[in-house]
Amino acid sequence: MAEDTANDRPGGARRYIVGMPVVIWMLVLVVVPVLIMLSMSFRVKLGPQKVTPFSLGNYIEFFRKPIYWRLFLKSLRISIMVSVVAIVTSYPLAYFIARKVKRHRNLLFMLIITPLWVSYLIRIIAWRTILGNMGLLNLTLMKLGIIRQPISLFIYNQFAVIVTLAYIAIPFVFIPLYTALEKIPKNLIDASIDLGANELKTILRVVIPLSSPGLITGFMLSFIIALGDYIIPQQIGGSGGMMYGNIVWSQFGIISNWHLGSSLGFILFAVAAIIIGIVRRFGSKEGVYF
Amino acid sequence: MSGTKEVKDGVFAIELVGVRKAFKEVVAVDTVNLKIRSGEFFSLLGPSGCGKTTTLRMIAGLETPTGGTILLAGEDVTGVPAYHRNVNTVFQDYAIFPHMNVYENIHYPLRMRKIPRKEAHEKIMSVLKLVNMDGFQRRYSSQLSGGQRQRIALARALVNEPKALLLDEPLGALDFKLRVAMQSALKELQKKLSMTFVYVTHDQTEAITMSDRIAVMKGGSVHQVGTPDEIYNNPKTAFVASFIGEMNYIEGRVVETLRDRIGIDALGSTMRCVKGKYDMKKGDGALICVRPEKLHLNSGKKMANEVAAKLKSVVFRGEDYEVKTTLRGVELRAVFDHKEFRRLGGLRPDVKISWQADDAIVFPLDMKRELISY
Repeated sequence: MAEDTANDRPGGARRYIVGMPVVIWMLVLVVVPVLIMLSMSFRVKLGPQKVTPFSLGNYIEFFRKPIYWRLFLKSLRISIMVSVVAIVTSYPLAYFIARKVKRHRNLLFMLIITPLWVSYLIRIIAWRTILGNMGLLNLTLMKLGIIRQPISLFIYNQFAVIVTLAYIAIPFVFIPLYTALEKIPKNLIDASIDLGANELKTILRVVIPLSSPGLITGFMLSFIIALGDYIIPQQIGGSGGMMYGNIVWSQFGIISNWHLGSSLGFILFAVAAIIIGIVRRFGSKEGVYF
Repeated sequence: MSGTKEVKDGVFAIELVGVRKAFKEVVAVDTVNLKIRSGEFFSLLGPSGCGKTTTLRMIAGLETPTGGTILLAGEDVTGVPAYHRNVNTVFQDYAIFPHMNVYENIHYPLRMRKIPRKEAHEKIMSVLKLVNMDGFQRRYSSQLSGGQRQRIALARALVNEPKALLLDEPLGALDFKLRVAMQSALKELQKKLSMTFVYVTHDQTEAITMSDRIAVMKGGSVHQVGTPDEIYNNPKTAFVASFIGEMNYIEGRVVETLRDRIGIDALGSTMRCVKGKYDMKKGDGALICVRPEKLHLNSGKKMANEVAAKLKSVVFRGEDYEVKTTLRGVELRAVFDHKEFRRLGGLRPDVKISWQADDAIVFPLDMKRELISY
């Protein structure tokens, strides 16, 4: 273009050079490993060092063996429950901080985000000490006299997995919820109240619908975080809390079938990508209202 | 003015008694007393920060007074929240719910009242016709122009037939021609419905054109309540005089006081003025205020006050001509319509400015602080 001078922005070749490090990074650390895994997924392992040429066998295995697809459906179900719990707990928190608090807003915001600085594994182990037999929950209940013996129902099961996953997801749900709630102009709340709606009705009919972009984004983030997780089921899921991620992981462990593992991993990847795609296309109303 | 009436037993549509509102240390509204009559078009007029919007919000119930009482049709509603009061507000930026279409927006207040669907439909259609927006039911806020949104906000606020309509600078965002058109439309609507309107604005022309009565506010207090004529011709404080219309200011010192006349030494001679509401003695500082349209230029008639000034500029303003003159560092502006200006003929550098004694208003000089100047 005639107007493009060397002073306006780097022209032609220079522009590519500036972008190079990012491109190389993405290629080496993301694209290439994924492509390697993809190619591995299309080879069935027959024995040590023996693989078939291109075959859909691994993928067929997923549908053939109930353990695979049943566990996948179970993980979907658990992820939905985790997301619901995360949203239900984050929403009042986000509403309160975004709309009711004036002075210490930044401090409260930081308090919610700060746990992300602590190691993921340590936070999970912390939940062991809360839910375990000699954990905080049991000791409190015994102190209050509600139970006499510790209950072992809190840990090493699906309940523990859902609670802990929700806990991990909450900061990621809180942020989009807070952002969406904060953007709602105060005069809309005033108008609703002026027209005859009390605070509860205003929340149900005005605030929640208008915060829907945040709800959708938050739900999606939480869902994706929960779907593929295997550490939490490993640490505190016991046998009842096992999730799809565990069997993917195990293919890369003792079983040592990286090819099957890759295919199982790709199925997870594909489903997550489709869900994100659908949500972004039809669900997210980011920017529609404000 | 015709069309306004007090409810029997002297009960007013809206009454504020000693209403105060303080935000931490800042006093936004300082002991305001107002009596608004039923069917009246009542304006709260003042510069930004004078407390007019806060006062309106307290009438609506969106703010709770720090002190004082608010009565609607004689009933104490000071502690009653907005959703239980029978008054509705048209907000400055309309506050149309973006996630509902026009029909649903207007339906909202009816739903809150649990009005059955059929009856609600009739009310919605009738109020849409009232504001000339029939046919826009399915549109959303983003598909409407500013003026259209304003009418929807109006329709939504009227559909529940409130006892009073509160309007917070509703025409601010509209362009000039549209604003003028909406002013008459609003006034007609108010007359047609015989509804009490409380209108907040900082535009004095708007207030004067539309209102039955105006409360002029500054710094949280009401300086004067009166008809547009009273506010314009008999301002009670220098601030009111300066805020409405244009004004010339002449500072001087009182030299003599008679029964209803007062002599003020200013501009090199003695100005003869009518005594104002303020008790002023010989030696007091005085502020003489004269409206530009009351100044005569090179008049053949003998008047109480005549001064010789130097012509500074003549500006054609479209509807009139503004002639600026100076005398002893004081600027005197006169305004003439096309006919009057032509009669003046050619103007020389030296001109004679004159005005009648009762065309000037006198205030104590320390009221000078209150003057609005830009």
